[in-house]
Amino acid sequence: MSHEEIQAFPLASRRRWNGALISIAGAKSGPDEPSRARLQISTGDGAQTVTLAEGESVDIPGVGTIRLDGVDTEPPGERPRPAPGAGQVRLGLTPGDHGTS
Amino acid sequence: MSFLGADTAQLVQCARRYEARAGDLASTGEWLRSTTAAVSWTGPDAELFRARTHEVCARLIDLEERLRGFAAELDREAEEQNAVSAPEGGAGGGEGAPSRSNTDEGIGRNGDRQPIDEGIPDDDESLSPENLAQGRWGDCGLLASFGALGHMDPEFLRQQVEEGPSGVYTVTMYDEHGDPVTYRIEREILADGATGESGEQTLASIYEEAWMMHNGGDYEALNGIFPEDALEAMTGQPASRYAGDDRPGLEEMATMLDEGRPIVADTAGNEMPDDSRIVGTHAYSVTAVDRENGTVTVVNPWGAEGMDDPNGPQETVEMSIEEFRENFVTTTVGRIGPRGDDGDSGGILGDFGDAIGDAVDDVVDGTTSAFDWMTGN
Repeated sequence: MSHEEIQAFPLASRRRWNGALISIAGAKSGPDEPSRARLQISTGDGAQTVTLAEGESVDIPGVGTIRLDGVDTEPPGERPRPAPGAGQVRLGLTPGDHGTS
Repeated sequence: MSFLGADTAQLVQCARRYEARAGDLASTGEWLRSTTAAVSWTGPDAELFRARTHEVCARLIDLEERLRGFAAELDREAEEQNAVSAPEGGAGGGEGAPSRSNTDEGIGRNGDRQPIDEGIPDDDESLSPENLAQGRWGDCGLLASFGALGHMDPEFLRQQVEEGPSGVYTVTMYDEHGDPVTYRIEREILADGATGESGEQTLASIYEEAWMMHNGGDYEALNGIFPEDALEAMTGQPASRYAGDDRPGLEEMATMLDEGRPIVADTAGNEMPDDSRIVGTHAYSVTAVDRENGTVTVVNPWGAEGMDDPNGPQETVEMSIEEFRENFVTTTVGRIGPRGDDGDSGGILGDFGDAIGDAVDDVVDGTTSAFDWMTGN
């Protein structure tokens, strides 16, 4: 049985996992709303863009299950805005039957 | 009291004030442009008025650059003075700047590495923003800046990276004073960083390694990079950041591109853009502005792989200026060229009849103390 592994993805970064290219297309966290993340997932069968709320997951056939574990956005520092790419999304990744992580 | 030399702390303080006032001039120029452009007024008088306004804006930009050049000069003077005053003469900067290697102790030990390729391509196509493929790091601010520079002036990037024997690359970057610092990249580089579209190592891969070294030797420095920091470190020239109403409009951006200035737009602060083609908290190279159609073209440093979902992020997006301003929070504009090279600005100051011009005039002419002007005394 496959086990979930939590991986941290910097915002707006891309990483290959188990035959898929996972891109972080957007992420939001805040005290008044649940965290959300927009992911672009590309496999040999094409690409899809999904938005997950914290705790939600998506099954990608032949790849595995991707669950949004949490979002850590970066508060502005000395400058009035965060830097592009600052902050991270934590994804719970469980490889599917045919994949290896 | 009479003495040779200077209080270097005061020199540096003065330099920062020059930079702050230079920023004020830039803001004034942008305000003037946008305010004038927003007025509904047509006819010959309107055209003449706008032309005169445009001329003043251009002079403000010249002045801004001159002030930044003065600030750089003050920083250099302070540094030289400190070097002379230091025991045994201290260490100099400029050509003598220390060259560090990525094989030095403690450099880049927190990332997987791979052997570096020999003969990494540096042709125009390899340096274009369309050839970028970002990796697992949050360094879009660096890569979009690289792409903007490669788009505007690939020769500049080629000049900054020298390939030696056996896959040794020397990258010139610039410190906060605009002084060059060189980094030797040898044997290995980051394994999961940026590549070209086909997965090949490019000069962007080399620049990631140099950025890591330039920022303390830790790969975590690749997560969250302000484009203004990247452009300044790569060019040695000041970069201007515009947000809100200060952001340049279509005509201003078109003019900047015509002048060869690299432009980066970012969505930091807009976590989930309404336009699903655009990625949140991300940076893009601005590659074209179409005056006739009123559109701006941006290139995502992710590359083209996996961009076949029409409802998801795209590599190249052409959008109206209105859409551009709705989605992108900040526009950053850099400069390419020798630092402080502001050309012949003779006659510019005398044409200013307003308070800013007079004040700057007095300082430039030396009739008013720079400290008095900066402090308003």
